[in-house]
Amino acid sequence: MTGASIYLNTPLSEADARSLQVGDEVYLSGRVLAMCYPWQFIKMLDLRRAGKPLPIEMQGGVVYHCPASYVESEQGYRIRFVGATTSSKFNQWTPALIREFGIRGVIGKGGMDLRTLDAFRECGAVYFAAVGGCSALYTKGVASVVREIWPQPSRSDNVLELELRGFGPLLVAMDSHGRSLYEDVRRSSVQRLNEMLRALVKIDTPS
Amino acid sequence: MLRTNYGRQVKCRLMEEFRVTNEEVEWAAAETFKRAITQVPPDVLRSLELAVAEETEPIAKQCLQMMLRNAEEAQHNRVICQDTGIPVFIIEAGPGVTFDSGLRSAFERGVERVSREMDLRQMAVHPLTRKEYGYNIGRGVPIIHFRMKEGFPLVRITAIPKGAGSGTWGRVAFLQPLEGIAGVKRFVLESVVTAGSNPCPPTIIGIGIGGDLEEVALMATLASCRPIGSRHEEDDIAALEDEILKLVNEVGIGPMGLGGKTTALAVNIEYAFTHKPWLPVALNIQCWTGRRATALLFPGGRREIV
Repeated sequence: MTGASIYLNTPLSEADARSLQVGDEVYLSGRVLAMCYPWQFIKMLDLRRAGKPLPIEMQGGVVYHCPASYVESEQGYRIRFVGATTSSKFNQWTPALIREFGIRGVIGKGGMDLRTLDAFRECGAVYFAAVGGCSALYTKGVASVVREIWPQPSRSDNVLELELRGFGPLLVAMDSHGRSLYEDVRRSSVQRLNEMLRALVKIDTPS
Repeated sequence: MLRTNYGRQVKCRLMEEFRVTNEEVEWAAAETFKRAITQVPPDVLRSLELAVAEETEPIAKQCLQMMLRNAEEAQHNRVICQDTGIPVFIIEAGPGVTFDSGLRSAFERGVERVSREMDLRQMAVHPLTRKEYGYNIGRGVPIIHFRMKEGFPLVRITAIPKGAGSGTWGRVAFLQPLEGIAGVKRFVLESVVTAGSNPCPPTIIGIGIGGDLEEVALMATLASCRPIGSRHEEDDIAALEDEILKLVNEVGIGPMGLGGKTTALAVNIEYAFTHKPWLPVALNIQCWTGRRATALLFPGGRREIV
Protein backbone atom coordinates (compact mmCIF):
# COMPACT_ATOMS: atom_id res chain seq x y z
CA MET A 1 0.00 0.00 0.00
CA THR A 2 2.70 2.38 -1.06
CA GLY A 3 1.92 4.00 -4.39
CA ALA A 4 -1.18 5.94 -5.45
CA SER A 5 -4.56 4.27 -4.95
CA ILE A 6 -6.11 2.51 -7.93
CA TYR A 7 -9.89 2.64 -8.49
CA LEU A 8 -11.43 -0.23 -10.44
CA ASN A 9 -14.91 -1.26 -11.50
CA THR A 10 -16.14 -4.82 -11.85
CA PRO A 11 -16.27 -6.81 -14.06
CA LEU A 12 -12.50 -6.76 -14.46
CA SER A 13 -10.78 -7.39 -17.77
CA GLU A 14 -7.68 -9.54 -18.13
CA ALA A 15 -5.75 -6.31 -18.76
CA ASP A 16 -7.08 -4.82 -15.51
CA ALA A 17 -5.91 -7.84 -13.57
CA ARG A 18 -2.53 -8.04 -15.27
CA SER A 19 -1.86 -4.33 -14.70
CA LEU A 20 -1.92 -4.89 -10.93
CA GLN A 21 1.21 -5.63 -8.94
CA VAL A 22 1.79 -6.91 -5.43
CA GLY A 23 1.72 -3.87 -3.12
CA ASP A 24 -0.89 -1.89 -5.06
CA GLU A 25 -3.71 -0.34 -3.09
CA VAL A 26 -7.10 -0.77 -4.74
CA TYR A 27 -10.67 0.45 -4.18
CA LEU A 28 -13.38 -1.58 -5.93
CA SER A 29 -16.81 -0.58 -7.17
CA GLY A 30 -19.49 -2.63 -8.86
CA ARG A 31 -20.99 -6.06 -8.34
CA VAL A 32 -19.20 -8.90 -6.59
CA LEU A 33 -20.19 -12.37 -5.47
CA ALA A 34 -20.05 -12.95 -1.71
CA MET A 35 -19.33 -16.60 -0.85
CA CYS A 36 -18.22 -18.05 2.45
CA TYR A 37 -18.86 -21.81 2.67
CA PRO A 38 -17.29 -24.69 0.71
CA TRP A 39 -20.66 -26.10 -0.44
CA GLN A 40 -21.29 -22.87 -2.35
CA PHE A 41 -18.10 -23.31 -4.39
CA ILE A 42 -18.86 -26.98 -4.99
CA LYS A 43 -22.41 -26.23 -6.14
CA MET A 44 -21.21 -23.55 -8.55
CA LEU A 45 -18.65 -25.92 -10.09
CA ASP A 46 -21.13 -28.82 -10.25
CA LEU A 47 -23.67 -26.71 -12.14
CA ARG A 48 -21.05 -25.68 -14.63
CA ARG A 49 -19.78 -29.20 -15.15
CA ALA A 50 -23.31 -30.51 -15.61
CA GLY A 51 -23.80 -27.88 -18.31
CA LYS A 52 -26.59 -26.18 -16.35
CA PRO A 53 -27.10 -22.41 -16.31
CA LEU A 54 -25.34 -20.45 -13.59
CA PRO A 55 -27.33 -18.09 -11.39
CA ILE A 56 -24.99 -15.25 -12.26
CA GLU A 57 -22.55 -14.07 -14.92
CA MET A 58 -19.11 -15.05 -13.68
CA GLN A 59 -16.83 -13.84 -16.51
CA GLY A 60 -14.60 -11.04 -15.18
CA GLY A 61 -16.25 -11.37 -11.80
CA VAL A 62 -14.81 -10.89 -8.35
CA VAL A 63 -15.49 -13.36 -5.53
CA TYR A 64 -15.47 -11.89 -2.04
CA HIS A 65 -14.89 -14.41 0.77
CA CYS A 66 -17.55 -12.72 2.80
CA PRO A 67 -20.21 -13.71 5.27
CA ALA A 68 -22.76 -10.95 5.65
CA SER A 69 -25.64 -9.90 7.84
CA TYR A 70 -28.55 -8.09 6.22
CA VAL A 71 -32.19 -7.44 6.95
CA GLU A 72 -35.25 -6.96 4.78
CA SER A 73 -36.75 -3.50 4.73
CA GLU A 74 -39.33 -1.78 2.53
CA GLN A 75 -36.55 -0.50 0.29
CA GLY A 76 -35.16 -4.00 -0.17
CA TYR A 77 -32.29 -5.62 1.68
CA ARG A 78 -30.38 -3.45 4.11
CA ILE A 79 -26.81 -4.49 4.84
CA ARG A 80 -25.86 -4.72 8.54
CA PHE A 81 -22.28 -5.89 8.22
CA VAL A 82 -19.80 -7.70 6.01
CA GLY A 83 -16.21 -8.82 6.48
CA ALA A 84 -13.54 -11.01 4.99
CA THR A 85 -13.31 -14.61 6.11
CA THR A 86 -10.24 -16.91 5.96
CA SER A 87 -9.52 -17.56 2.29
CA SER A 88 -7.37 -20.66 2.75
CA LYS A 89 -10.61 -22.61 3.40
CA PHE A 90 -11.37 -22.29 -0.32
CA ASN A 91 -7.96 -23.21 -1.77
CA GLN A 92 -9.33 -26.47 -3.11
CA TRP A 93 -11.92 -24.94 -5.47
CA THR A 94 -10.47 -21.58 -6.39
CA PRO A 95 -8.11 -22.62 -9.22
CA ALA A 96 -11.11 -24.16 -11.03
CA LEU A 97 -13.13 -21.02 -10.38
CA ILE A 98 -10.41 -18.95 -12.04
CA ARG A 99 -9.86 -21.31 -14.98
CA GLU A 100 -13.45 -22.36 -15.71
CA PHE A 101 -15.39 -19.20 -14.88
CA GLY A 102 -13.00 -16.41 -15.75
CA ILE A 103 -13.00 -14.94 -12.24
CA ARG A 104 -10.44 -12.10 -12.21
CA GLY A 105 -10.29 -11.21 -8.55
CA VAL A 106 -10.64 -12.73 -5.12
CA ILE A 107 -11.16 -10.59 -2.01
CA GLY A 108 -10.37 -12.24 1.31
CA LYS A 109 -8.03 -12.41 4.21
CA GLY A 110 -4.97 -14.51 4.93
CA GLY A 111 -4.13 -15.35 1.32
CA MET A 112 -4.28 -18.52 -0.77
CA ASP A 113 -1.97 -21.32 -1.84
CA LEU A 114 0.49 -21.81 -4.70
CA ARG A 115 -1.98 -23.68 -6.91
CA THR A 116 -4.21 -20.63 -6.79
CA LEU A 117 -1.23 -18.40 -7.55
CA ASP A 118 -0.54 -20.57 -10.63
CA ALA A 119 -4.11 -20.09 -11.82
CA PHE A 120 -3.76 -16.33 -11.30
CA ARG A 121 -0.65 -16.30 -13.47
CA GLU A 122 -2.11 -18.54 -16.15
CA CYS A 123 -5.44 -16.72 -16.53
CA GLY A 124 -4.80 -13.20 -15.27
CA ALA A 125 -6.35 -12.72 -11.83
CA VAL A 126 -5.33 -11.26 -8.47
CA TYR A 127 -5.93 -11.59 -4.74
CA PHE A 128 -7.13 -8.51 -2.91
CA ALA A 129 -6.26 -8.66 0.79
CA ALA A 130 -8.67 -7.07 3.22
CA VAL A 131 -7.71 -6.52 6.84
CA GLY A 132 -9.44 -9.23 8.86
CA GLY A 133 -11.83 -8.29 11.62
CA CYS A 134 -12.50 -4.84 10.15
CA SER A 135 -16.24 -5.15 9.54
CA ALA A 136 -17.11 -1.67 10.73
CA LEU A 137 -14.80 -0.11 8.12
CA TYR A 138 -15.45 -2.35 5.13
CA THR A 139 -19.24 -2.34 5.54
CA LYS A 140 -19.17 1.35 4.55
CA GLY A 141 -18.03 0.29 1.07
CA VAL A 142 -21.06 -1.93 0.45
CA ALA A 143 -23.83 0.04 -1.27
CA SER A 144 -26.44 -2.72 -1.28
CA VAL A 145 -27.36 -6.37 -1.39
CA VAL A 146 -28.47 -6.86 -4.99
CA ARG A 147 -29.92 -10.32 -4.48
CA GLU A 148 -29.77 -13.63 -2.68
CA ILE A 149 -28.60 -16.67 -4.62
CA TRP A 150 -29.86 -20.14 -3.56
CA PRO A 151 -31.74 -18.86 -0.46
CA GLN A 152 -31.17 -21.07 2.58
CA PRO A 153 -33.19 -21.45 5.81
CA SER A 154 -30.54 -19.46 7.63
CA ARG A 155 -29.81 -16.13 5.97
CA SER A 156 -26.14 -16.23 6.93
CA ASP A 157 -25.71 -19.25 4.62
CA ASN A 158 -26.68 -17.43 1.43
CA VAL A 159 -24.53 -16.57 -1.53
CA LEU A 160 -25.08 -12.88 -2.23
CA GLU A 161 -24.57 -10.49 -5.05
CA LEU A 162 -23.31 -7.26 -3.49
CA GLU A 163 -22.91 -3.80 -5.00
CA LEU A 164 -19.68 -2.18 -3.82
CA ARG A 165 -18.90 1.52 -3.88
CA GLY A 166 -15.29 2.56 -3.28
CA PHE A 167 -14.73 -0.61 -1.28
CA GLY A 168 -11.32 -0.68 0.35
CA PRO A 169 -8.53 -0.18 0.92
CA LEU A 170 -7.53 -3.55 -0.51
CA LEU A 171 -3.94 -4.64 -0.94
CA VAL A 172 -2.92 -6.66 -3.97
CA ALA A 173 -1.12 -9.44 -2.09
CA MET A 174 -0.99 -12.05 -4.88
CA ASP A 175 -0.67 -10.94 -8.49
CA SER A 176 -0.72 -12.48 -11.98
CA HIS A 177 3.06 -12.23 -12.27
CA GLY A 178 3.76 -15.05 -9.83
CA ARG A 179 4.26 -12.98 -6.72
CA SER A 180 2.59 -13.65 -3.40
CA LEU A 181 3.39 -11.68 -0.27
CA TYR A 182 2.07 -14.61 1.77
CA GLU A 183 4.47 -17.00 0.10
CA ASP A 184 7.40 -14.61 0.71
CA VAL A 185 6.46 -14.34 4.39
CA ARG A 186 5.76 -18.07 4.73
CA ARG A 187 9.12 -19.00 3.27
CA SER A 188 11.09 -16.62 5.48
CA SER A 189 9.11 -17.56 8.60
CA VAL A 190 9.70 -21.27 8.07
CA GLN A 191 13.41 -20.60 7.55
CA ARG A 192 13.54 -18.50 10.72
CA LEU A 193 11.61 -21.20 12.62
CA ASN A 194 14.12 -23.85 11.60
CA GLU A 195 17.02 -21.68 12.76
CA MET A 196 15.28 -21.14 16.08
CA LEU A 197 14.55 -24.83 16.56
CA ARG A 198 18.20 -25.68 15.92
CA ALA A 199 19.25 -23.06 18.49
CA LEU A 200 16.71 -24.41 21.01
CA VAL A 201 18.12 -27.91 20.77
CA LYS A 202 21.63 -26.56 21.40
CA ILE A 203 20.75 -24.45 24.43
CA ASP A 204 18.10 -26.45 26.19
CA THR A 205 19.13 -30.06 25.73
CA PRO A 206 20.87 -31.33 28.86
CA SER A 207 24.20 -32.86 27.86
CA MET B 1 -33.02 -35.62 52.91
CA LEU B 2 -31.88 -34.51 56.30
CA ARG B 3 -28.34 -34.22 55.13
CA THR B 4 -29.38 -32.16 52.12
CA ASN B 5 -31.34 -29.80 54.29
CA TYR B 6 -28.52 -29.53 56.73
CA GLY B 7 -26.06 -28.70 53.94
CA ARG B 8 -28.36 -26.02 52.60
CA GLN B 9 -28.86 -24.41 55.95
CA VAL B 10 -25.16 -24.18 56.61
CA LYS B 11 -24.54 -22.62 53.22
CA CYS B 12 -27.31 -20.07 53.74
CA ARG B 13 -26.01 -19.06 57.13
CA LEU B 14 -22.52 -18.40 55.79
CA MET B 15 -23.44 -16.35 52.72
CA GLU B 16 -27.06 -15.58 53.30
CA GLU B 17 -27.19 -12.55 51.07
CA PHE B 18 -25.15 -13.79 48.09
CA ARG B 19 -27.65 -15.37 45.82
CA VAL B 20 -27.18 -14.60 42.14
CA THR B 21 -30.50 -14.35 40.34
CA ASN B 22 -31.16 -15.44 36.78
CA GLU B 23 -32.07 -11.88 35.93
CA GLU B 24 -28.53 -10.84 36.91
CA VAL B 25 -27.01 -13.71 34.94
CA GLU B 26 -29.03 -12.87 31.82
CA TRP B 27 -27.95 -9.24 32.15
CA ALA B 28 -24.30 -10.26 32.55
CA ALA B 29 -24.45 -12.68 29.60
CA ALA B 30 -26.04 -10.10 27.28
CA GLU B 31 -23.89 -7.13 28.31
CA THR B 32 -20.57 -8.99 28.21
CA PHE B 33 -21.37 -10.70 24.91
CA LYS B 34 -22.32 -7.38 23.35
CA ARG B 35 -19.31 -5.55 24.77
CA ALA B 36 -16.93 -8.30 23.60
CA ILE B 37 -18.08 -8.12 19.98
CA THR B 38 -18.29 -4.31 19.74
CA GLN B 39 -15.42 -2.95 21.84
CA VAL B 40 -11.73 -3.76 21.66
CA PRO B 41 -10.42 -3.78 25.25
CA PRO B 42 -8.30 -0.69 26.18
CA ASP B 43 -5.15 -2.75 26.87
CA VAL B 44 -5.38 -4.25 23.37
CA LEU B 45 -5.83 -0.81 21.80
CA ARG B 46 -2.77 0.49 23.65
CA SER B 47 -0.76 -2.48 22.52
CA LEU B 48 -1.82 -1.98 18.87
CA GLU B 49 -0.84 1.69 19.12
CA LEU B 50 2.61 0.74 20.41
CA ALA B 51 2.93 -1.76 17.57
CA VAL B 52 2.19 0.94 14.96
CA ALA B 53 5.13 2.93 16.32
CA GLU B 54 7.38 -0.17 16.31
CA GLU B 55 6.66 -1.33 12.77
CA THR B 56 8.83 -0.03 9.97
CA GLU B 57 7.16 -1.85 7.06
CA PRO B 58 4.45 0.38 5.48
CA ILE B 59 2.05 -2.53 4.90
CA ALA B 60 2.32 -3.71 8.51
CA LYS B 61 1.83 -0.18 9.76
CA GLN B 62 -1.22 0.37 7.58
CA CYS B 63 -2.84 -2.92 8.67
CA LEU B 64 -2.45 -1.92 12.32
CA GLN B 65 -3.80 1.57 11.66
CA MET B 66 -6.84 0.07 9.94
CA MET B 67 -7.44 -2.17 12.95
CA LEU B 68 -7.36 0.88 15.24
CA ARG B 69 -9.70 2.84 12.98
CA ASN B 70 -12.06 -0.11 12.81
CA ALA B 71 -12.05 -0.42 16.59
CA GLU B 72 -13.04 3.23 16.83
CA GLU B 73 -15.86 2.81 14.30
CA ALA B 74 -17.18 -0.33 15.95
CA GLN B 75 -17.69 1.12 19.40
CA HIS B 76 -20.78 2.94 18.11
CA ASN B 77 -22.73 -0.25 18.47
CA ARG B 78 -21.33 -2.07 15.46
CA VAL B 79 -19.61 -5.42 15.39
CA ILE B 80 -15.81 -5.34 15.18
CA CYS B 81 -15.76 -8.49 13.04
CA GLN B 82 -18.49 -10.24 11.07
CA ASP B 83 -17.59 -13.50 12.81
CA THR B 84 -19.09 -12.84 16.22
CA GLY B 85 -18.06 -16.34 17.21
CA ILE B 86 -19.48 -19.16 19.22
CA PRO B 87 -20.53 -17.76 22.61
CA VAL B 88 -18.23 -18.89 25.44
CA PHE B 89 -18.54 -17.77 29.06
CA ILE B 90 -16.42 -18.27 32.16
CA ILE B 91 -18.11 -18.05 35.56
CA GLU B 92 -15.77 -17.49 38.49
CA ALA B 93 -17.22 -17.76 41.95
CA GLY B 94 -16.25 -18.81 45.45
CA PRO B 95 -17.96 -21.37 47.66
CA GLY B 96 -21.14 -20.09 49.26
CA VAL B 97 -22.61 -18.38 46.22
CA THR B 98 -25.91 -19.81 45.06
CA PHE B 99 -27.33 -19.72 41.56
CA ASP B 100 -30.96 -20.31 40.72
CA SER B 101 -32.05 -23.28 38.66
CA GLY B 102 -32.37 -22.44 34.98
CA LEU B 103 -28.93 -20.86 34.89
CA ARG B 104 -28.24 -22.12 31.36
CA SER B 105 -31.53 -20.68 30.10
CA ALA B 106 -30.51 -17.30 31.50
CA PHE B 107 -27.32 -17.42 29.42
CA GLU B 108 -29.32 -18.50 26.37
CA ARG B 109 -31.76 -15.62 26.75
CA GLY B 110 -28.90 -13.12 27.04
CA VAL B 111 -27.18 -14.45 23.91
CA GLU B 112 -30.40 -14.64 21.89
CA ARG B 113 -31.38 -11.11 22.83
CA VAL B 114 -28.07 -9.63 21.65
CA SER B 115 -28.10 -11.79 18.51
CA ARG B 116 -31.53 -10.42 17.63
CA GLU B 117 -30.80 -6.81 18.55
CA MET B 118 -27.64 -6.72 16.47
CA ASP B 119 -28.79 -9.00 13.63
CA LEU B 120 -25.85 -11.30 14.27
CA ARG B 121 -25.25 -14.28 12.03
CA GLN B 122 -26.60 -17.54 13.42
CA MET B 123 -23.50 -19.65 13.89
CA ALA B 124 -24.33 -22.52 16.31
CA VAL B 125 -24.87 -25.87 14.55
CA HIS B 126 -25.05 -29.58 15.35
CA PRO B 127 -21.49 -30.80 14.69
CA LEU B 128 -22.53 -33.68 12.40
CA THR B 129 -25.96 -32.96 10.93
CA ARG B 130 -25.09 -29.21 10.76
CA LYS B 131 -28.70 -28.52 11.75
CA GLU B 132 -29.59 -25.36 13.62
CA TYR B 133 -31.67 -25.03 16.73
CA GLY B 134 -31.91 -21.40 17.83
CA TYR B 135 -30.17 -18.08 17.54
CA ASN B 136 -26.56 -18.82 18.51
CA ILE B 137 -27.65 -21.42 21.03
CA GLY B 138 -28.03 -25.20 21.00
CA ARG B 139 -27.03 -28.29 22.93
CA GLY B 140 -24.07 -27.17 25.07
CA VAL B 141 -23.99 -23.70 23.48
CA PRO B 142 -23.35 -21.18 24.96
CA ILE B 143 -20.26 -22.97 26.19
CA ILE B 144 -20.09 -22.30 29.92
CA HIS B 145 -17.08 -23.03 32.15
CA PHE B 146 -17.09 -22.78 35.95
CA ARG B 147 -13.94 -21.87 37.82
CA MET B 148 -14.05 -22.20 41.59
CA LYS B 149 -12.20 -19.37 43.32
CA GLU B 150 -11.63 -19.94 47.01
CA GLY B 151 -12.53 -16.89 49.08
CA PHE B 152 -13.64 -14.85 46.06
CA PRO B 153 -15.97 -12.10 47.34
CA LEU B 154 -17.93 -11.63 44.10
CA VAL B 155 -19.05 -13.42 40.96
CA ARG B 156 -17.25 -12.74 37.73
CA ILE B 157 -18.77 -13.65 34.35
CA THR B 158 -16.53 -13.23 31.32
CA ALA B 159 -17.62 -13.50 27.71
CA ILE B 160 -14.97 -14.75 25.28
CA PRO B 161 -16.89 -15.41 22.06
CA LYS B 162 -14.55 -17.50 19.93
CA GLY B 163 -14.07 -16.68 16.27
CA ALA B 164 -13.45 -19.40 13.71
CA GLY B 165 -10.35 -17.82 12.19
CA SER B 166 -8.38 -17.88 15.42
CA GLY B 167 -10.20 -20.78 17.10
CA THR B 168 -9.27 -23.20 14.33
CA TRP B 169 -5.60 -23.08 15.31
CA GLY B 170 -5.84 -24.18 18.93
CA ARG B 171 -3.72 -27.23 19.77
CA VAL B 172 -3.07 -29.63 22.61
CA ALA B 173 -0.10 -32.00 22.89
CA PHE B 174 1.33 -34.33 25.48
CA LEU B 175 5.08 -33.78 25.28
CA GLN B 176 7.68 -36.04 26.80
CA PRO B 177 8.69 -34.59 30.19
CA LEU B 178 12.32 -34.60 29.02
CA GLU B 179 11.44 -32.17 26.25
CA GLY B 180 11.01 -29.54 28.97
CA ILE B 181 11.00 -25.82 28.28
CA ALA B 182 12.60 -26.30 24.86
CA GLY B 183 9.70 -28.59 23.95
CA VAL B 184 7.15 -25.98 25.01
CA LYS B 185 8.89 -23.31 22.93
CA ARG B 186 9.05 -25.61 19.91
CA PHE B 187 5.35 -26.45 20.27
CA VAL B 188 4.38 -22.76 20.40
CA LEU B 189 6.66 -21.64 17.55
CA GLU B 190 5.56 -24.48 15.26
CA SER B 191 1.90 -23.76 16.04
CA VAL B 192 2.34 -20.06 15.29
CA VAL B 193 4.11 -20.69 11.97
CA THR B 194 1.54 -23.32 10.97
CA ALA B 195 -1.31 -20.89 11.71
CA GLY B 196 0.56 -18.19 9.76
CA SER B 197 -1.71 -15.49 8.35
CA ASN B 198 -4.97 -17.30 9.15
CA PRO B 199 -5.81 -16.32 12.76
CA CYS B 200 -5.68 -12.54 12.04
CA PRO B 201 -2.36 -11.60 13.64
CA PRO B 202 -1.16 -9.81 15.71
CA THR B 203 -2.59 -12.35 18.12
CA ILE B 204 -2.72 -12.87 21.85
CA ILE B 205 -1.33 -16.33 22.54
CA GLY B 206 -2.62 -18.24 25.54
CA ILE B 207 -0.54 -21.21 26.66
CA GLY B 208 -1.53 -23.85 29.19
CA ILE B 209 1.16 -26.07 30.71
CA GLY B 210 0.45 -29.05 32.99
CA GLY B 211 -2.81 -30.37 34.37
CA ASP B 212 -4.53 -33.00 32.22
CA LEU B 213 -6.29 -32.92 28.85
CA GLU B 214 -9.23 -30.63 29.69
CA GLU B 215 -7.42 -28.57 32.28
CA VAL B 216 -4.51 -27.70 30.00
CA ALA B 217 -6.89 -26.55 27.25
CA LEU B 218 -8.92 -24.42 29.64
CA MET B 219 -5.76 -22.88 31.08
CA ALA B 220 -4.69 -21.91 27.56
CA THR B 221 -8.09 -20.31 26.99
CA LEU B 222 -7.97 -18.41 30.28
CA ALA B 223 -4.43 -17.27 29.49
CA SER B 224 -5.57 -16.00 26.07
CA CYS B 225 -8.04 -13.63 27.74
CA ARG B 226 -5.69 -12.23 30.36
CA PRO B 227 -5.10 -8.49 29.80
CA ILE B 228 -2.00 -7.52 27.84
CA GLY B 229 0.72 -6.40 30.22
CA SER B 230 -0.53 -8.63 33.03
CA ARG B 231 2.45 -10.74 33.96
CA HIS B 232 2.21 -14.16 35.52
CA GLU B 233 2.52 -13.88 39.31
CA GLU B 234 5.60 -16.13 39.37
CA ASP B 235 8.73 -14.45 38.03
CA ASP B 236 10.15 -17.42 36.14
CA ILE B 237 6.85 -17.99 34.31
CA ALA B 238 6.59 -14.26 33.55
CA ALA B 239 10.14 -14.39 32.15
CA LEU B 240 9.15 -17.36 29.97
CA GLU B 241 6.16 -15.36 28.67
CA ASP B 242 8.50 -12.52 27.66
CA GLU B 243 10.99 -14.89 26.09
CA ILE B 244 8.41 -16.76 24.00
CA LEU B 245 6.82 -13.46 22.88
CA LYS B 246 10.21 -12.27 21.67
CA LEU B 247 10.79 -15.55 19.76
CA VAL B 248 7.30 -15.44 18.20
CA ASN B 249 7.86 -11.89 16.98
CA GLU B 250 11.16 -12.87 15.38
CA VAL B 251 9.32 -15.23 13.03
CA GLY B 252 8.20 -12.24 10.94
CA ILE B 253 4.62 -13.24 10.07
CA GLY B 254 3.40 -9.75 10.98
CA PRO B 255 -0.06 -8.15 10.88
CA MET B 256 -2.45 -10.24 8.74
CA GLY B 257 0.50 -12.44 7.71
CA LEU B 258 1.84 -9.78 5.36
CA GLY B 259 5.19 -9.52 7.14
CA GLY B 260 6.42 -7.43 10.05
CA LYS B 261 7.62 -7.38 13.62
CA THR B 262 4.24 -7.79 15.29
CA THR B 263 3.02 -11.38 15.06
CA ALA B 264 1.73 -11.45 18.64
CA LEU B 265 0.81 -8.70 21.08
CA ALA B 266 1.24 -10.95 24.11
CA VAL B 267 2.07 -14.46 25.22
CA ASN B 268 0.32 -15.42 28.46
CA ILE B 269 0.95 -18.65 30.32
CA GLU B 270 -1.09 -20.45 32.96
CA TYR B 271 0.21 -23.63 34.53
CA ALA B 272 -0.75 -26.35 36.99
CA PHE B 273 1.05 -29.37 38.38
CA THR B 274 0.73 -32.47 36.27
CA HIS B 275 1.18 -36.24 36.33
CA LYS B 276 4.81 -37.36 36.55
CA PRO B 277 4.96 -39.06 33.12
CA TRP B 278 3.30 -36.07 31.38
CA LEU B 279 4.08 -32.64 30.02
CA PRO B 280 0.75 -31.46 28.59
CA VAL B 281 0.82 -28.20 26.69
CA ALA B 282 -1.99 -26.32 24.95
CA LEU B 283 -2.25 -23.20 22.87
CA ASN B 284 -5.29 -21.03 22.24
CA ILE B 285 -4.98 -18.11 19.85
CA GLN B 286 -6.97 -14.93 20.24
CA CYS B 287 -7.20 -12.71 17.14
CA TRP B 288 -6.10 -9.04 17.21
CA THR B 289 -9.52 -7.89 18.40
CA GLY B 290 -8.82 -9.46 21.81
CA ARG B 291 -12.50 -10.25 22.28
CA ARG B 292 -13.45 -10.36 25.96
CA ALA B 293 -15.62 -8.52 28.46
CA THR B 294 -16.28 -9.17 32.12
CA ALA B 295 -19.26 -8.52 34.37
CA LEU B 296 -18.83 -8.26 38.14
CA LEU B 297 -21.76 -9.19 40.35
CA PHE B 298 -21.45 -8.12 43.99
CA PRO B 299 -23.43 -9.25 47.02
CA GLY B 300 -26.31 -6.84 47.50
CA GLY B 301 -27.07 -6.49 43.80
CA ARG B 302 -24.39 -4.06 42.58
CA ARG B 303 -23.23 -4.97 39.08
CA GLU B 304 -20.76 -3.56 36.60
CA ILE B 305 -19.05 -4.33 33.31
CA VAL B 306 -15.29 -3.99 33.17
